[in-house]
Amino acid sequence: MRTQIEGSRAVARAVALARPEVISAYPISPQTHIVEALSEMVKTAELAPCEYINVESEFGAMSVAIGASAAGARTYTATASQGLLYMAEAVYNASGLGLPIVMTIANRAIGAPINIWNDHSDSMSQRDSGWLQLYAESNQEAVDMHLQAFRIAEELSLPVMVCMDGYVLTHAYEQVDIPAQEQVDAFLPPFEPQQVLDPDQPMSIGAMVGPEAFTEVRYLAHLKQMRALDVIPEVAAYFHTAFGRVAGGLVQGYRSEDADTIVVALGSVLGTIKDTIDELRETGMRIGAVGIKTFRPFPLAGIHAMLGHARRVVVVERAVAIGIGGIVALNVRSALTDPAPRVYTVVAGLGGRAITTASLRALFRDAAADRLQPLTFLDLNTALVERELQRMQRRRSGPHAENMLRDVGAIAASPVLG
Amino acid sequence: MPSITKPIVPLLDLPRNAVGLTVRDYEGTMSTLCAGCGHDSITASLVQALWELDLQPHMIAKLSGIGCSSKTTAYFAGTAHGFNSVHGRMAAIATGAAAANRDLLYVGVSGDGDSLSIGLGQLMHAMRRNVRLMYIIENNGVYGLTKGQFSASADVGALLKGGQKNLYAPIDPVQVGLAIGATFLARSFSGDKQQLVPVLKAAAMHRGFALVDVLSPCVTFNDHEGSTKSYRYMREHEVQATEADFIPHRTAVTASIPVDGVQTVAMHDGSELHFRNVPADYDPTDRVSVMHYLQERRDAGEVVTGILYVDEDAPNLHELGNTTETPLVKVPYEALCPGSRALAAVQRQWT
Repeated sequence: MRTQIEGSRAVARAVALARPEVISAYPISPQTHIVEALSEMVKTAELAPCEYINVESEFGAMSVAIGASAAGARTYTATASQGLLYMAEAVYNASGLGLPIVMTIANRAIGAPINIWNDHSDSMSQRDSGWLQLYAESNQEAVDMHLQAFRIAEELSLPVMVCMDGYVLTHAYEQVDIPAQEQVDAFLPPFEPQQVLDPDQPMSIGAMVGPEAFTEVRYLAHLKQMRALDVIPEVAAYFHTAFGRVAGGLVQGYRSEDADTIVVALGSVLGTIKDTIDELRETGMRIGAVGIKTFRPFPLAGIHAMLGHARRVVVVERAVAIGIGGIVALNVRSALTDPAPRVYTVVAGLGGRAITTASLRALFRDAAADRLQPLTFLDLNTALVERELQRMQRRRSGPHAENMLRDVGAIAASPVLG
Repeated sequence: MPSITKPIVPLLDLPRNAVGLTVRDYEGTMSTLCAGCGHDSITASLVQALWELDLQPHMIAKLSGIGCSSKTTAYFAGTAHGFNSVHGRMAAIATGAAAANRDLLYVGVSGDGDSLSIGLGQLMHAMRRNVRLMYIIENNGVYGLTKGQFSASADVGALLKGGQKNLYAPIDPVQVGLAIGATFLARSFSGDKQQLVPVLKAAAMHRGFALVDVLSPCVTFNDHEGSTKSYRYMREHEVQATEADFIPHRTAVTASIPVDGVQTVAMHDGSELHFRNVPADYDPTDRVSVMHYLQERRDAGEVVTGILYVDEDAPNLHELGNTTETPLVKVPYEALCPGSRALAAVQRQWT
C-alpha cells in the first residue's frame, strides 16, 4: 500500500514484515527512529512473536544479535557512525561465524571531530568485515532491500548491512509502497538456520582455529561472498516478479550505454546525479551514471561491463580513504582493464555537506573536458585550510577543528569577561 | 556546531575571589539546552562552587562524553581546558590525563546514559583506581539527545512520556561505588543549589575519585506524571540524609564552632567536612552502614541526598602508582631518560 511515511518508519515496517524474532539495539542518531518504531510494534504485539532488547551499548547490541542468531532466531539490529565502530569486534564475529543477521546502517560521519550528519565513513570502515553491503538510493529501495536482505542473508548464511543515508533518507517523508504481509510471507520463507544451538544436536560455536585451517576458513568466507554475486541478482529478479519493482541487485545503469562520461556513486546522491545528468544531456553532453547497489561483494564483472566503453569515469563518494583518496574509486579501478577509461575520484558530501546540482554540473563539465585533478574534494574551502596550515607553523597551534570553526565564525573567540 | 557567546556586560561591582576573579569568569557560553533543564541549574552550582574555591580556570580540565549532559562543559569555566570524548569513554580519558598531569583539577560531566550504560565499565574502573576526578552524573533517567528512551537509571515501574513502563532494575551509581570501593559518594538534586554547591566543593577537594550523582529532571522527555525523575517527584521524595558543611583549609578549625554531635572528616589538603546532621546509626565513613541505610530508604521510596560516603585515607592513583610529585608532563627528558651510562650502572648491580 502506498503511504506517505518517514524513511525510518518505512524501514521499520519492512523489517516487521520480515518477522524478526529478536531485535536488539542502542539509540544513536540518525538510526533511532527505526528501532524506536520497532519497539512500539513489539510493545503493541503488532510484531509478535518478537523479543526486543534495549541493550547498554552497540557492542551489546551486536553481541545479543549473535547469540540470538546462533540460537536460531531471525535477528535484526540497526546502528550508525560511532555505534558501528564501537560494535566492530562483534561485527567481524557475526560474519566469521556465518550468522545471517540483518543490520541497517543509517549512514553518518565518524569522529573526531564529532559530527552527526551524513556520509559513508561508517559503513565503508567495515567494508572488509565479511558482511554483505547494500546501499539504498531511495526510501522505497531501502524498504525493498531490507526484504531482500533477509532472504540473501539466510540463503548464504552471511550477515547483511543495508546502508541508507542518514537524515537524507532516514528522516525524509515521501511516498513509499509498503507490501502486504502475505506478499512478504510468500517471498521470504521461515528462517531455516544452517547452524543452530539445538539441545537435540549439541554443538559448540566459536572454536579457536590455528594456522592449520585459518586460511581455509577465511577463504570459505570469500567464496561465500563470491556466491552472493549470483544470489543477489537472483533475489532481485525474484523480488521484481513478486512485487513488480526493480530494486537492489548489483549495479544499475542510467543513460550510461552511449555515454563517454560515466558517474559512479552509491546511495541517495544518485538522485541528484541523475537530475544533473538529465540537464547536461539537454546540452548534448554524453553523460550517464552507474549506481553501485552492492558494494560487498564488489561486482567486478558488472562494473567492468558497464564502464568498459566509457572514456572517463567520475566516482563521487561520500567517504575518504585518508592517505590515498577514494575507497569506491580504488575498487572501481580494479574492475577496469586496459585500455581503461580515466578515473577521477571526487570526495563529496562529507559530514553532511550538501551535494548540490550546481556543484555537480560544474564538476561534470570539468570532467568532460578532462580539467579535473585525479582527486578532487568537492566544494573544498581551500582558504580555510590554508589559514590552518599557516597556524600550524607555530608551536602549539592547538586543535584544528576548534581553530577552523573559529575561522568560519561558528564558535566565537574566547570571550573576555569582567 | 555554533555556540552562542554571552554578551559582555561589565559588572564592576561583582565581588572578587582570592584569585581576583568574579563569578562571571567561571561562566561559559550560552546554554542551548531546553529552558528549565536541570542541567543548567547544575552548571550554575558548578560556577558558584569553582568561584568559591578560588580556583584558577587554567588549572581546571573539563571532560565529558556524549549526551545532553556532556554539552554542559561548554557552559562553565569558559577559559578552562576542555575535552569532549566519545560516548562512555570520559572516565578513561580523564584517567590518562590525570596520570600525565596531576596538577590540574579534573571535572568530568556525564549523564546516566553515558555513565551507566555504555560507559559503566570505564566509570567503575576509574573509581577503583581512585583517579582524582570529580565525576558528576546529570541523572534524568532518559537518553535526552536521542529523544527520550529509558536509560539504565530508570526506576522499575517508571513511565515514559508515551506511557511505556520500565521493567528493568535501575543501576544506582552510589551503590555501585560503595560495592567496588569508591572513596567519595554524594547525591544531590539540581533544584537544590544550597545543598549542591557545598557538595561540589567537597567533591572537588577530595583526594581521589568523587562521584556526585545529581538528579536533574529532563523537562522535555521525563517530567510528567508517572516519572520518578521529575521535579515534582523529587520535591516529594527527596530526603536529605546528611547535612554537611565544607570548611576550606584557610578558614578551618579556628572559624568553626564545635557543636555536639558534629562528625568531622579531615580532607587531605587540610579542609574539613563537618557532618551536622546525620541519621542515628549512620556513619558516612562506614561503607556497610551507608549501604544498608541507602537500601532501606530506597525500599521506603525515598531519594536520599547529601554527601553519603567519604574515605579520605584511601590512596589515589598516584599514591598507588608511587609516581612523582612533579606532574609527569613537567618531568624533564633528562630525568625520564638518564641515558645509557645510568642504565649500565643499574645493570651492573646484577652482574
